[in-house]
Amino acid sequence: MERVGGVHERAPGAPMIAANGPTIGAAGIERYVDEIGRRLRDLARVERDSIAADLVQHLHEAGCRSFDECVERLGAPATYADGLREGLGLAPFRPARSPRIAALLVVVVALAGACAFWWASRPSPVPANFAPLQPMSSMIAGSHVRSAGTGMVIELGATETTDARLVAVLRNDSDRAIRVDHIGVPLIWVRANGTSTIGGSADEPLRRGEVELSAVWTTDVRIEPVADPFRIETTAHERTGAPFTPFIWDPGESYAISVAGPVAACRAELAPFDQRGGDVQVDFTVGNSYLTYTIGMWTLDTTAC
Amino acid sequence: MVAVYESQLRKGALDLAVLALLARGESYGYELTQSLIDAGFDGLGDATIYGTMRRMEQGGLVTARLEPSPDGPARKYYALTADGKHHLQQGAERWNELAASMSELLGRR
Repeated sequence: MERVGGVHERAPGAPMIAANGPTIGAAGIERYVDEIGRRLRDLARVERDSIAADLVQHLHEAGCRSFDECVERLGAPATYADGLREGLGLAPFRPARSPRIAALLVVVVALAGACAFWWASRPSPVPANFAPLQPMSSMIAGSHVRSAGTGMVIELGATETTDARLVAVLRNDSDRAIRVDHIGVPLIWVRANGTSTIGGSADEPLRRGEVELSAVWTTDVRIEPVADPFRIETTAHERTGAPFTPFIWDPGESYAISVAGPVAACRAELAPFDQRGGDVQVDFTVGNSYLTYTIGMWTLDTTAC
Repeated sequence: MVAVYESQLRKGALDLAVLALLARGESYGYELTQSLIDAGFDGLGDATIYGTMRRMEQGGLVTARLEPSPDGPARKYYALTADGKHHLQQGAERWNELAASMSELLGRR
């Protein structure tokens, strides 16, 4: 009496034929068993070989002598394999993706990743008329303080020996962080009784943007974060001459931008001014777009020079 | 729908049916298949029965031996192990309980 059902090794690529069963020369049965084996390839090789060896014995016992006989008696190899898996308590066979499909999938995934990376790192389109920095109502203590209707505060000073100061409190009202690269005041423009008093004359009034403020003022630009625009206390400008450091202006954050310097030619006898102010120019980047944002700082208030 | 239900019912009872048949005495694959068909398991294919036998053999519920046949190829005879007998006893008890419950449920319709 021979105990059967053990594990039988076979060389890789060798047909799935019983090691201890009868010698069945019928290539058809090997083919039948091999086709079944293809639907068992998710099993360990040892287990698969054991099943194959056992199966050859079983098919022989069932009277199969050829592939066609096996199909006629037992059904197509795929059907038989499905039933066998069911009997063995295995999940239905799911054909694995071929290496070619897997490679294609890798390429597709890689391409999708590259596209996603490109999309994330591409220059962010900035909408037309994008104006993230909005002036806020503010208040600065001091005798020369006036609040303009725009909410910007201008303190335009006094005499040739004292500083004029412009302060704008701005908040980033957009949903984008802004990298501020430069803040400058290209021109201060003061008109008194129709006469330009800084850098120009009545005959040749300065046009905004023509003259760098530095040509007129010894400028100092100060950026101070603002938590409460109604509690701003600007400190005296010390004119350190320190270079401007670019910074990130996050959404919702407020900063007071103050520019101060001595007025070159503010003459008391020309007062009262009927208009005063200037521009603060903020150069900044949003995403990869570089923009220049000019904030007009104007007031209709009059202050004695 | 009815066919699917019947098929599932038979599959669920197949293990117990095989153990019950082998409790009568050892048997070989073809004979087992015929006995199962006679018992109403005609919807199950040879592959499922063969796979079940292999699984039970690996699980230690049945044992197998090859015996030469005077009519042709050697036959693989299956017999219950002690584990298999125990399994059959437990399974029969559960089956009877379930059958009683089901009969009671169905009788109340």
